[in-house]
Amino acid sequence: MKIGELKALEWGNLTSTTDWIKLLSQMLSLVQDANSSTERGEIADALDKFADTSFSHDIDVITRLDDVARRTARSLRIDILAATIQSMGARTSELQAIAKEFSASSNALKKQAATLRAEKFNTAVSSLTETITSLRDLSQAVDSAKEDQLFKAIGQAVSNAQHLRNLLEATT
Amino acid sequence: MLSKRIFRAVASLSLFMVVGCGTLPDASPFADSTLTLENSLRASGLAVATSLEEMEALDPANKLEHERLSRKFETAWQIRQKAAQAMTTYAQAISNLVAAGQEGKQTVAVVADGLSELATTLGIPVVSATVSVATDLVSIVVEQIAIVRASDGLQDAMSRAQPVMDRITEILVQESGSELRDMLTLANKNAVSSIRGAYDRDEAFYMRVLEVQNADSKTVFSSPQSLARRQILDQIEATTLTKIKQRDQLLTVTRLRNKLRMQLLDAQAETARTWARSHRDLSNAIREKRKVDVVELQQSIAELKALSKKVSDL
Repeated sequence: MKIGELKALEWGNLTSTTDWIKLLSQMLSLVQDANSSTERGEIADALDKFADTSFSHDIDVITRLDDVARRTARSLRIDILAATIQSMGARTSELQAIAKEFSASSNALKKQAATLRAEKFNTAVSSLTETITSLRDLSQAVDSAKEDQLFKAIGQAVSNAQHLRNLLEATT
Repeated sequence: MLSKRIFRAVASLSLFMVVGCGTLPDASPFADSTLTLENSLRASGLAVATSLEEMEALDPANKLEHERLSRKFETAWQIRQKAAQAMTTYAQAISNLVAAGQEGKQTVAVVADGLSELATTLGIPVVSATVSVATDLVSIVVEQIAIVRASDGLQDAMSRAQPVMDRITEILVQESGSELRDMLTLANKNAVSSIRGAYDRDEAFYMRVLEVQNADSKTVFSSPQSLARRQILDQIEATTLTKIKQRDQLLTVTRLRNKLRMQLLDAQAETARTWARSHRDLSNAIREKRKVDVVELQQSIAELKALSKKVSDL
């Protein structure tokens, strides 16, 4: 018997306890030939199918055969599980590198956010001081009704606005 | 009257000179979804670990092998969990920088309040209307500068992170669809094997009883002994059938648990794909200074949250 033949097994043709013993023996001998997880899986499934299907008037014997079949099936699957976990483990260094990349990006973004907040504060302080001063001067000049002072204040206010505009343009 | 007009004209001119445009999209849905994805990864890891534990409980003969498997899986999963945590921190950092770029108005208002207070304390006369106009003017400038700065930083960081995002998504999707799914399938098959194995003798006995009952039914019994034999056989059949039903109940519960866990893996894979797409959308939206459509992402997240809860409740 070969592993590839397991799926095509005619379970209904087995009638005696001896038939079942012979079949289990053949199936167990396939275990050492299995070269991949897929083949081990096929044997494991066939062994469970054996235990599901087997029938004999000799209940003690058939139950013992079922037990051997099921234990072997489970052991094979444990082997496959171990191999699966190992294949996941093979990505460890790549995942560590990914985590490191994300951490580096996060740190850079955090730094930028802190710098941006500080810059905003500084810009707000200097720009507000200048703008309030020029607008206050303008307001006072308008009230004083002195033409030269008024022109000077308007000039300062416009120059301040231009300064703000320049700030924007330098950024964009 | 004239003085007010001049003041307004100059203020309006200044406002016109500094008006800009552009905005930053809301990055909080992306940050929230990343956190949900991290939590769902935890739930998926827990689902597989629990599935291994259930397999172990049903098969004490292989206790040592099972314990070894669980330990190895835990180690492998911790690395994925750390990567997921780093993803969440990254998403929060994006959200934080977006917020820093959006708080221009608040910063200027705080500074304006501070300056007004200082001016009052020092006895410098400052009219509140002047402060208000200056605050409006400077708010626009600070806001626009912050948006542009944040936008530049975000575009740069996000475009550099995109290949890493794509790769981690590929790993998550692949593992959900292959390794994790395989592990759940194998653990489930072993659990089914153990449950069936515990009842194999009962089943063999039950089949034998049915066979005898079937043979007896073809014969007409009249003696008290044969009637007693039939009664005994019926009792044996009923007792064995109860055990078979117990087995079938256990098998049904195991199948349902496995089905839910599989659904969680599917949902997680789908959310990971949507999540990577939403990162790309967010990056584009920042570049184009527009809003993002988060409906698809939010739907995936809601589905994933519900499934994670169901699996946790198992």
